[in-house]
Amino acid sequence: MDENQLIEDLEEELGRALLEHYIQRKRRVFIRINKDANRKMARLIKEKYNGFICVMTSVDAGDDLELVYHFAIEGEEGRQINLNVTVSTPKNIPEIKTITDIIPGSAYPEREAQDMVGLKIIGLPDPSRLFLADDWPEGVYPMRKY
Amino acid sequence: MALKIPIGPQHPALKEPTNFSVELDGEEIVDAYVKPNYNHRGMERLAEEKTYPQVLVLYERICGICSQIHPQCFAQATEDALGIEVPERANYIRTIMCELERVHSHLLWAGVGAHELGFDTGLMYLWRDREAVMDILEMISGNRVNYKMNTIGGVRRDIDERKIPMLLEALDAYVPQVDLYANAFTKDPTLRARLEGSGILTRKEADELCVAGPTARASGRDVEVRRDDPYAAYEEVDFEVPVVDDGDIMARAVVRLLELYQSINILKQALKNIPEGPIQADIDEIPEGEGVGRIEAPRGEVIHYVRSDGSWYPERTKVRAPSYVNIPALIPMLIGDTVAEIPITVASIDPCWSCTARVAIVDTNKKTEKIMTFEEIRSHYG
Repeated sequence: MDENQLIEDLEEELGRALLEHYIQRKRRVFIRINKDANRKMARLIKEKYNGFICVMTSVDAGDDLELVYHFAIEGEEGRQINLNVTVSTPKNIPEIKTITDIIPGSAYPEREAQDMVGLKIIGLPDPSRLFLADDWPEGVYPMRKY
Repeated sequence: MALKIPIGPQHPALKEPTNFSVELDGEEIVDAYVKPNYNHRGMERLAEEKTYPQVLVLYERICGICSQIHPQCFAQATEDALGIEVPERANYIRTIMCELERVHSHLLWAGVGAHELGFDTGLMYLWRDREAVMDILEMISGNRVNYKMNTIGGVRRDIDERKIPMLLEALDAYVPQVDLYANAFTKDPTLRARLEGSGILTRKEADELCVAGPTARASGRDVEVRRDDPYAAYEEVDFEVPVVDDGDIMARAVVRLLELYQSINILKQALKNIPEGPIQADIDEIPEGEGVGRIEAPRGEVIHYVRSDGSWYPERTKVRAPSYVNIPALIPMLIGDTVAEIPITVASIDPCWSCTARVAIVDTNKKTEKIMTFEEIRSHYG
C-alpha cells in the first residue's frame, strides 16, 4: 500500500484514537495516537502491515513525556514505509503499556525509555536497567530537560 | 545447578567492554544474559547542547569504523526536518563513501573472525588488503578515519575527476583478493568445521528480535535499507542483495563476502556515472520539524531521529546503531553451543559497542551471585 492508503487504513482501524497525521515525503509518515491505542498499533504493525520496530525515542516535552515508535512497514514496489508513531502521557502519570509481548524486539528500546526519561512501561517482562550503571541514583533521568 | 560463568568486561571477541553471563551444563550453554550498561557515553544529551554542524563532528565519533555512516544519517534526518534538497553530485559522493566504508569494515570483520578462530595468517592477509581501501578513503577525504565529509545539505569535499581512473583501477585489484578469501572461508575444512552449524539464529527468532544487516540476511530475513528505503544515490545504481537461509556463522561470513562484490560493483557504477554540479545546498532558515534518516551500515540499519524547534540547536536527537538489535540475538545463538564457540559466535554479528557491566562475583559453592560497584571494588582492592 502507498502512503495515502496507509493513512486511510489507519483512520479506519484506529478511529478517534488517531489524533494527527501527515505525510512528510515518500516513505515517511508521522502520526500521533492516543497512548491507550499503542498495543492495537503494534498488533497492526505485526499482523497487517508486516512490519517491525526500528527503535523508540523518548522525549521530555515539558508537561508531557513522549514516546516515538519508529516502525518500518511494507510499502509498494518492494519498498518500506517508515511510520513514526508518537504517544504522549502527562509527567505525573508517566505510564505506557508495553508492546514487547507483541513485538519482542521492543524490549531494549522500552528499557532504554525507562532509563532515560523515567517512563514507566507497564508489563515489561525484564524491567531492569539497560544503559544506566547499577550504582546510578534512583529517580534521576539523564534525558529529562524541564 | 548449572555453572555460571561471567565473561567480560574485557571481552574475548572484541577489545570493547560488555558483560555476558553464560550458564553451563557440562560444556553446553543452557542460558545466556547480556548486560550492556558499563559505559553510556551520553552523546544524545550532549548533542542537545550543540549546533547542527557541531553535532556532525560529535556523531562522527560514535564509531571509528562507521565514521561516514553516523554523520551522514544525522545529516539526512536533519535535511528532512529542515526541508533541504541535497544536490545530485553530493548524493553520489556520499554513496561512494558509504560503500568504501562497507568494504573496509567487512575486511576488518573477516580479519577479526579469522583471528578468533586462531587463523592469524588470514588476519594478516585481510588487514593488509584493508589498507588499500583505507588509502582510497584517504585519497578522497584526506583522512583514514573520521573523514569529515558530510555537512548539512551535502558534502564538504569534491572528488577530483583526475583521481577516478586511479580509484577504478584500485577497485579492480580487489576482485581476485575477495575471490581468494571467499575460497578460503568456504572450502577450508578446518574453517568449515568451526563455522558450519554453530551459532544458529533461526528465521523466526530473527524476525521476532527485528535483527538487522548481514546477521538478518544470513537467517533468511530479507531486509536491506539501500533497497527498501533508498537514500543518497542508491536508487540509481544496480545491485543484488545476497540472502542465505542457513542462519549459522558460515552464512554470516558468506553474506558479508558476497556483499563485498556488490560494493565494488556499486562503487564502479557510482564513480563512472557521477554527475557534474554543486556539492552543497543553500540553507536559508531553520523551520520547526522532525526527520528520520535510515542507512544500511556494514552491520545493519542505522536510524537517526531529529526534532527541530526552529533554533540552531536540535531539540532531540536519537541514534540507533545496528548492534543494538543484534546483541539480543546473541542469546538464541549461544544457547546450545559449547564454551569454545563463544568468541567466534559473538564476533559473528560484528558487534560494536561501548558498554558493559561491573564485575560479577559468582560463588559456585554458595550458589550466589553479586555484582560489585566501582566503590566496592575500590574499597576491596584499593
